[in-house]
Amino acid sequence: MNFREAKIVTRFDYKNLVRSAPGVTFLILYLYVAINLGAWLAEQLRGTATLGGGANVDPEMARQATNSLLVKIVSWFLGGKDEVVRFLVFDRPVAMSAFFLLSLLVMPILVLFLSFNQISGYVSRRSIRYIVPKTGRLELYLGLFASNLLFFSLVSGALTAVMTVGWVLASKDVGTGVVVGYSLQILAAVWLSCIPIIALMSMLAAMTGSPVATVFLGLGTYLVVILAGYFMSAQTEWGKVFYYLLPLEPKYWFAYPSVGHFIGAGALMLLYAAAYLALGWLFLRRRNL
Amino acid sequence: MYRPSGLTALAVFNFVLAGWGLLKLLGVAIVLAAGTPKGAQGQPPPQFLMLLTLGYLIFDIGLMVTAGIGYLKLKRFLGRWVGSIEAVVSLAYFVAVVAYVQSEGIPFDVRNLSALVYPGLTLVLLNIVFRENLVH
Repeated sequence: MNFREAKIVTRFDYKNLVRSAPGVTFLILYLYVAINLGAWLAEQLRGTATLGGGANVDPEMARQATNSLLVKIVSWFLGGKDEVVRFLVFDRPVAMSAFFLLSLLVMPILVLFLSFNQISGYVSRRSIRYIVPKTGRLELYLGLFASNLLFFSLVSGALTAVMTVGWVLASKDVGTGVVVGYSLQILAAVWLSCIPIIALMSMLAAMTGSPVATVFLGLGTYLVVILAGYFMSAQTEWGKVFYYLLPLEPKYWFAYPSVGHFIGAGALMLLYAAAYLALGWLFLRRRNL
Repeated sequence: MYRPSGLTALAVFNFVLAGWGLLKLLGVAIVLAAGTPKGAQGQPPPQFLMLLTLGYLIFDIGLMVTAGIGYLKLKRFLGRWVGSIEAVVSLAYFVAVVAYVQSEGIPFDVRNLSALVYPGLTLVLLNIVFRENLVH
């Protein structure tokens, strides 16, 4: 593995990604949709309770809040885990918690549309034949993965910066420190939960060699894993194993109160990413380009 | 010279947003002509804000279309400079409206932040990412 060559590939592809029509469109639409979603959630906060005050929450406000849409969203995601729901509703700004959980659900799916054109673009255009003599396949494969990750980091970083300003301006009862700290936690969690998906798309791109097929296969994999997990878990206890083919369940550990859960979820995300990348490499290593 | 596809996408966004701005301009003109417009709380929106919006929209639509053509032709002045001026004008309008609304004691609506996305990104893209392309 030549890190210098991988770095050159990353820099070159990152520049291309930022300048490409899908890159620019993704950047604008992603920020626009996410900000409006966050703003809508913040709007729900008005008239119920700002919460985030821990033990000082007024019981009447708490009663109102438990009927609010935001609490229903949080409870839906973490059904049965009452202590986590209580933590997210009463110890954290509830609108931010709802945004956090919705981001964990939606962002990995949006990332499927960002990272489909990795090595598959070069394979389908046959331009990979001119690149491979200059650099190794592994360097190219990992370099393209890194450039997609870098681009996603830029977008999610920009989003978090804008959202943090908005949250600080909108929430009067919650301290700036709490808002900024929670924003950083959301950024880290969403970023980590998207790494395996970018790696999954790297693997699928190496398998198919076509950007269109990569998108459809990525979406199909998501859908099949969810449906198979749902139906199989209804039949047998072991059916739940299907859910773990993708990091669907563990990503919600990021929202748990303990630091241990956060670190465990982060480590698991990196493990998933490494497994997908390794599988993709097995295909690409001997593929006829 | 080679035109990156992202610059073409940015030009298309400019034309679409100019069209959207034209619709907004029409709406503001109708509200002003109607004489007794009603705001969200049944109050008439301040005349100052309406006139500011009207002026801004007329100026902004012109700049957006001009800059869009500049992006397609890879022009330094029409593309990079006019595009940057348009973004700065949009940001200044945003700041003016927020300052006015805050001075009236109306709480800040986070949804307004989405108005920062396009001008902010335009400034970054034109002056960092596409700087080497807009040179004619």
